Amino acid sequence: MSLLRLTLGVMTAIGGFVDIGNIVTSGVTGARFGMTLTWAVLLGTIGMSLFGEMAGRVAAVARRPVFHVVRERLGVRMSLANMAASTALNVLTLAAEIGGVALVLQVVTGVPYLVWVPVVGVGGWLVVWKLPFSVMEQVFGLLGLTMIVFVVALFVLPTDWSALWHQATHPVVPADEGAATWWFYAISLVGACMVPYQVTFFSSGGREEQWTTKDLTEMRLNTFVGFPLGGLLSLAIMAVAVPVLAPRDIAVNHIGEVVLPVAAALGRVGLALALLSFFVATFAAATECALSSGYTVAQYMGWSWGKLRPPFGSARFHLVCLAALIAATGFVLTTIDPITITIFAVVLGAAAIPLTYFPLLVVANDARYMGEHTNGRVVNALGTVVLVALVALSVATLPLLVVTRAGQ
Amino acid sequence: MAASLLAAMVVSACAGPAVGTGAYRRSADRALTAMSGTLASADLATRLDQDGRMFYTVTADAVTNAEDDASSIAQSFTTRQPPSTADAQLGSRVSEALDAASGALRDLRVAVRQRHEAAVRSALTEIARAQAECRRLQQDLQ
Repeated sequence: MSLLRLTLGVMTAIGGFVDIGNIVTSGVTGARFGMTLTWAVLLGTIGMSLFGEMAGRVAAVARRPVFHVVRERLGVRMSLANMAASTALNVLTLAAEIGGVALVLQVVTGVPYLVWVPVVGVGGWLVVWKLPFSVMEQVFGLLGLTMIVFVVALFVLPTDWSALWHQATHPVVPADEGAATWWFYAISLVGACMVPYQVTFFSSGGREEQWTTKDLTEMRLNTFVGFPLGGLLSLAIMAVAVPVLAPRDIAVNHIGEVVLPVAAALGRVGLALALLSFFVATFAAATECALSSGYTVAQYMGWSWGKLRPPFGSARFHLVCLAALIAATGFVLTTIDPITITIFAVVLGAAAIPLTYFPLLVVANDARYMGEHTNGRVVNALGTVVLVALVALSVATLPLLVVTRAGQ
Repeated sequence: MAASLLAAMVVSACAGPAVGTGAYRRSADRALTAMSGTLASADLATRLDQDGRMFYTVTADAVTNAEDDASSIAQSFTTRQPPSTADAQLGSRVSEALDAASGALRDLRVAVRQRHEAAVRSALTEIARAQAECRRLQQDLQ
């Protein structure tokens, strides 16, 4: 295994971690709550790394896709709930991503986003249909690294580091904000980090690339190094809002407001890189979401699936991907604000986390599938703690959604 | 799923009536805070543009969004019924400030779209005045 391949994998994982959910929630929370919700990003990133590693390990050791194993291990009915929840969330997240790409294009071109929505839908389908998996993963992942511009901006801006650190280590509700709203956005940040499509895409990608136990080291580097560094990018988006947007009481309602701190710090070059990173991150996530919809349904149903096969060899898989793209595009065309869709997608995603991640924990502990590669005690303990915390958050999600009027 | 999502969106988007003086004053404060932020957003984007740090389309998008948001904030507050005569007087002052802010943002959007430097500077002065009025009213509400 070459160093280049390892580096490429980690860099891809970093660039692929952030999507519209992270961009919106990090921007909103940084402007409104400073760094007081850092813990939520940490919890979400730890959870994503743990469960991502489990999914990758199942794919590499059992050499079968996760949903296939889940259906066999938990039975058709139980795993049907898992499949249905994941698919519904995939489509909702896909709508948010398509809306996000269209919003970025609106900011760049001045053409209304609704004009771009069908174009993005067709573009996404072309990538799913035509682009080889490895090219897609690496091009998007590496271009997504341009998001590092937020880290650079943080060092250029007059950042009060001790104040940031104090906020991050003292997670209290700011005086001018309500506790319910603070908790609502905490849940949204966790949900943004732990969107189910990422685990499905990661493990199915492992099967597309025919991972075996020899690939476990590379896979673990991606999840335990790449994902946390991706989480750092989310924190950087949050942090740049603190010295620029928060003092002016600017509440982030639009994607263009998230890039204002970068423009203030680095001018047009920084702004161009930030917009490029948003475009790449959301477009990549859109294609990953569409593919994940196909993966989820095809693996559950036992159909032939994957991008390695020609489309006529996995027709039903491609049909599901296409149907998801059409449904999501249609949903955005209803003119519901894409930022609102994003908030709902990440919050409902957080509410469904136990449903989508618990079966994975069960399968990763089953020696019949995993042999000597079942979860160790530490992973089980951490995974259980994270899952219990997420169950508590998910119970509070819907009441908070109504009480705070979606975080207003 | 879609139906429940739409229902949740509708329920969460509904603005409840202001039932008492306290609630009415809080809604006024929230509207003024939101308007201040909207004004600041447009102001920041425009000043960055003047410094050569923005692309025209990004600035135009920012001021257009700010105008839309301001209109929505003003309209949302105006639909609230004041619970007493004293609150009605307060509401009238707040509505005037919100309308003035909306007007300033409209002028800024037009000036930015026309790329009229002098008009942009004038609109920014108007925005600063609107921001000051919003802050003053917020202090009165404390």
